[in-house]
Amino acid sequence: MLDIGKNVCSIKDSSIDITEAPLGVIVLPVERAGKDYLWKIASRSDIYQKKETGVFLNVKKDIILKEPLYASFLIHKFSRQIIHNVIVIGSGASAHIFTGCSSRRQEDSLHFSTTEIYVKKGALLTYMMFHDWNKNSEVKSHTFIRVEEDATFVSGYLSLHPVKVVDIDSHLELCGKNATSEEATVIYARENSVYNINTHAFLNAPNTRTNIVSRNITNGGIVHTEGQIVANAEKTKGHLECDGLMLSDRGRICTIPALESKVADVELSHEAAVGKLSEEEIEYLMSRGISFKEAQSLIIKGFIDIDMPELPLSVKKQIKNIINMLDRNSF
Amino acid sequence: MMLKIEDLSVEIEGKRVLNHINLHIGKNERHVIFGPNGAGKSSLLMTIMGYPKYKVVQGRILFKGVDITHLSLNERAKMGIGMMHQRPPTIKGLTLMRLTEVFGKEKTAQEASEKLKLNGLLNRDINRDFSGGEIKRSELFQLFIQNPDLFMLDEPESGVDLGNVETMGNFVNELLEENLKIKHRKRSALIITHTGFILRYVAADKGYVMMNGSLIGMGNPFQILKEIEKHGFSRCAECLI
Repeated sequence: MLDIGKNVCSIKDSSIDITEAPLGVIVLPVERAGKDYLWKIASRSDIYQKKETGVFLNVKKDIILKEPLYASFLIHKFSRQIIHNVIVIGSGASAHIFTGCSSRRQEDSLHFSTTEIYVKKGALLTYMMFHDWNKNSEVKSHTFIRVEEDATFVSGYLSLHPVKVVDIDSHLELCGKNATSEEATVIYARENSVYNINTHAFLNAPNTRTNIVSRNITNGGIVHTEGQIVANAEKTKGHLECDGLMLSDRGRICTIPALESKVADVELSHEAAVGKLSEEEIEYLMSRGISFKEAQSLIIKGFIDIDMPELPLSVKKQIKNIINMLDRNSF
Repeated sequence: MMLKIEDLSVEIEGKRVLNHINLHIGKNERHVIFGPNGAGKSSLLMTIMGYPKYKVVQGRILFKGVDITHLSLNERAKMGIGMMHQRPPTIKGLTLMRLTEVFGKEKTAQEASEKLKLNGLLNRDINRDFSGGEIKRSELFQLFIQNPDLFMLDEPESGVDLGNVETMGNFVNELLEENLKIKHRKRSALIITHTGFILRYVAADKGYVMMNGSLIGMGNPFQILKEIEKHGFSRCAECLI
């Protein structure tokens, strides 16, 4: 199991284990989320049976959590793990949720998940997803996010290890005025790994802002990213940034940004770049006495180190610790 | 002897950039090379540092008695050669602070960064949106954490206002152990300068003029600078022959 911290909830195959949550936080099996939240912003796939596996995590109104809440998902023996999660952050509340997903199964496996996230008025949610699958894992993850007035949603996705296929689809809707979001994706695609990452952000209320950043590295794997920002309201801002790093001639990176506006008073922009590691940068670090390998590693780590200014320092530190743990000197 | 260059000729992509260079720098010596743009001054420093683009076609470079002509950049740096680059690249995502951690110099770096007025830059990506002066001070800071024995400074004062040249000059003197008694000083410097401003703060021992890839003569750097100021580079080069 990817041990990223003390879990409030662990799901192993289809069995759920809930431990005591901090004051003001409710953690229950997903079927108890209630009709206000269940399948409200996500469409139910046929893959879901009558009884669902997953967690309902509700941070009550005005509760400010300093420490992250951890949840882990493990494929142990099952060939299929079908998950449905619902997360609700009450008005004025502030929470950081870290999820870690991994597999111990050596044969083929499928992890299919749908997550519905509601960030209420004036709330803040940091949602980090760390993937640590294996070369037999196929992953399909769908996330639907609804952010209300004055609320902030910050998310990060990190996958550094081999996996068979990862399909990620996220639909974010900024539906109250002044709502903001920051979404960052970091992928290191190794031989025989395929990633398809689709990120959609809808600016549906005035003064909403979104920033989508993806940093992809291939060392033989395939990364296909599509980012889309749709502005449906005025005085909105959106920016897409996709950077790709090819470590060799093997593998492929394809990045497609799309901007769409239905009103005039908006600021939408994108920038994209794909290239190799800069020799000039490596040589510069070597002139300080750093070896070629270490210089390469420092530059790659720098490339994936996305600054998320909205995050408190303590949360940034924890993210760094997890990245260091996942890194295992692999760069 | 700290550095000994014997009959060194260098090419970049088949084009000759340095011709038959001879240069000897002893311990606690500061040598200065003057010369117009494109004379080959930076090429000499880049060759000594070991940048692979600069192909040695003749001669050799000895550092502390060891032939380093074919050693890699990082091997030379580890032996004690450090360089202040003129136009260093930006490294996205790598901060000066992280580099300080790589060298394990977090404790002593604080004071150095204060002296160099770099505190606001430590957590920014190296050279990203740095001004001319900030780049120079960041380079000196990196030399401080690297702690070499031979300091090669490529145009330390270019693009820097005079107030900052003083800050940098004082720091260079610290790096060159001016706080120690002369007999205890071991570090040396090879400085390239276009304007000579840095000599107001750093006492140099020997000076040269470089023209068209060749080092011409050797003399008192302050007298050479005076000649250059009066008559320009070419007349001055003539006076050294």
